[in-house]
Amino acid sequence: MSRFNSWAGKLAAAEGFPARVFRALPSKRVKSAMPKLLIYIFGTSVSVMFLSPLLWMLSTAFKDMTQIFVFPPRWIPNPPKPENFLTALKWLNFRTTFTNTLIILSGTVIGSLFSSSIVGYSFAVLRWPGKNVFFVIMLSTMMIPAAVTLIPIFVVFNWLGWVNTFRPLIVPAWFGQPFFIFLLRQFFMSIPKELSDAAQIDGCGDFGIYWRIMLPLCKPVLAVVILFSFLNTWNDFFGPLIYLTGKDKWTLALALLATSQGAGWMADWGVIMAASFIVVVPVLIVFFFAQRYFVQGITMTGLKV
Amino acid sequence: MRSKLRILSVCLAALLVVALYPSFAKVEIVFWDPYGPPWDKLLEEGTANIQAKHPEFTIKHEHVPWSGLIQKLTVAVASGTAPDAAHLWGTWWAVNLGVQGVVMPLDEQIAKDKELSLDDIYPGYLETFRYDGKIWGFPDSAQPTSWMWNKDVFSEVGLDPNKPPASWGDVVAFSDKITKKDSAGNLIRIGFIPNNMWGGFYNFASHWGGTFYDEKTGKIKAYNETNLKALQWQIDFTNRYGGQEVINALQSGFGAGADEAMVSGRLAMQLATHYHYYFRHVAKPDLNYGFAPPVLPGPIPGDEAKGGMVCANAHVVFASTKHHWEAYLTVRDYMTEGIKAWIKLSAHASVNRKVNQRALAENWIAEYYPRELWRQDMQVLEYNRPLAPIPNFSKLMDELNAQTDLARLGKKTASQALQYVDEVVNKDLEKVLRRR
Repeated sequence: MSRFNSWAGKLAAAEGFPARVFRALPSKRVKSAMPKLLIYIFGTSVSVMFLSPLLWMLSTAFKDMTQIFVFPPRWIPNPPKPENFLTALKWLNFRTTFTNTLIILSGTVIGSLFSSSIVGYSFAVLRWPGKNVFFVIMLSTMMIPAAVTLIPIFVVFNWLGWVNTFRPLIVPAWFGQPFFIFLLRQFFMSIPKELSDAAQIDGCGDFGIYWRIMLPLCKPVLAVVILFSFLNTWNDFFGPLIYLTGKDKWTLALALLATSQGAGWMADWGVIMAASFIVVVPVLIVFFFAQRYFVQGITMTGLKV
Repeated sequence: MRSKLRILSVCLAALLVVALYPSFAKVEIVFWDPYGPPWDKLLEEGTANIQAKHPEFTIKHEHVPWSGLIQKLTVAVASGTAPDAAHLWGTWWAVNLGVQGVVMPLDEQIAKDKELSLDDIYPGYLETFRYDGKIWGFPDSAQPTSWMWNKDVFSEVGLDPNKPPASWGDVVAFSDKITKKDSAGNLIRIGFIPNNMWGGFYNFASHWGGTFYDEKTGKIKAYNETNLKALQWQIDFTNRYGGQEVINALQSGFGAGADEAMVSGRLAMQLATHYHYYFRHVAKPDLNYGFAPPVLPGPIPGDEAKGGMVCANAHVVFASTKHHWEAYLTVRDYMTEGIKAWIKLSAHASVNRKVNQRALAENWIAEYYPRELWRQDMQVLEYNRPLAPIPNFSKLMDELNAQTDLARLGKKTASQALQYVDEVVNKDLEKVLRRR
């Protein structure tokens, strides 16, 4: 610091400026902190940019129609209209749609977890003829667009009499999901084989090894499966749209869509934003508590759900 | 032997019951509608009215949000599980799906129907559903336009509040007096906004007497003298007040309630329809407005407009239904029974003129809606002109709105814009008809 000051003093004298001007220049410490500061400023402005739609949704949720389209926009509702939330709960038929969503959610999450892990275990650890061929076939199903199989699958479910029940939305999860199977297989393969060999010597069967040895070691990846499965199901609007016909069977995502399409030009945006906020909040809470696993999922797979 | 005979007769009786059961069971009509809350209740009330009239069959009302309806319908049609009937947003869906064989023509049912007289339906509304000589559905309601103006703004600028413009020239002259700008040149009030209406340029040009369809060739002909004049008028009007971007900036501040264009005094004249009156009533019940027929003489002699275009949604019966007659009755009676709930709330008119006369006589029109306006609407409806009877009508609307936007922005001339519409839409039409 003193070296800098003396250098600044000399330079100031040479240039004919008062020394304090040069003393005001950033120190080395400040200099080294500068890139970090810039990163923080950049990060904060990007996060504000990403957060603003969410904040605008929340702000609009408390406005009446007279405040929503005001130009220039007002962020703070005055007076606030919390009644929008009550109307939104009514329009969403919240108790029913939330219960339906939870039923489907628990069915698909448990199903995905159990079926995908057991299939992934089989692909990773067990030895059986044609294993690799089946693995490739299983992987190739990920390449088929959902639209291609939509109608044949619908025909089957209709033939089974499952349309307008939760079964078409839950049962497929109990037959393994290719992405989760792939994810779990890769994780199982990273566990040292000696562990399962030791268990086998101690008399443990294949299912015992899967249940007692492998699954407890896979908690991080199982958390990722739970999280991704939760998000997929919570946000799924298309499946419920196709398979559910009665309003008493609707999920929150479907009810939200109906709410946002009152009658085109006759939409109440305050209520729609309140409904959107209600639907988004559980996802935000889950993300808040599970963001570690969420990031882990992205690093493991390179994919974001 | 006797016991064998007994068993055999019991078996036969059981078989007979199983075979005849469907004919004894009450027919169920599945009806899809795309409305969400709170408007879904109006549709449900409409269904209940029809159900009360037809206790011999059951109507199962199912809501399918509009943005997913076509996808759900595609799956349902392909898998043979389509509903019996549906309400679709946009009249053009009837012809579009009719050409694809998804919805059925109603002519056979109409021919044996003793209750319905097609003469009771306003001609423009009926013709919109006629294609290839067949009727592919019914309109749900009628939405006539009227000339609406803010009397307080008229008084403020020294115009006679009881005298609406009598020509498109008057619209310009009145707008000159009404329009206000701030010191930065931003509009804070305007007399009229040319495209601020349902249907955009198609509707505007219809009020000028413009047409978009050539019956002889069966093709779209947007590029014609009247449409050119109408679009040129829009361009000149827009430029007079600073250009499309300046008007867009004013419009971006329009909202609902107190910020609604006419309620806030930022727009003084409009070609309005019943829902403008409804929302203005909700936001400002004491709004001092005037109304007049939407017919302004066009600049071309003898080219007077005939009340604008048809504005409605479609009720269709699907070709896969097993209950043609009951499904037909369901969509037919929406025009008479189902519409009542809408008339009471928001003054939608029926497409059946007898229902409108009854609504007036028995006084079940929404209270706030002026009875004189209702009478005027009934006259306007007689002149509403059908939409171009083509299966790709939505393509025409999309292209027309996009191209006329470009023309008002000064990026194309009126001729270039309309010629482009003809070219693109007719090419698409050929493709659609080839796939038929």
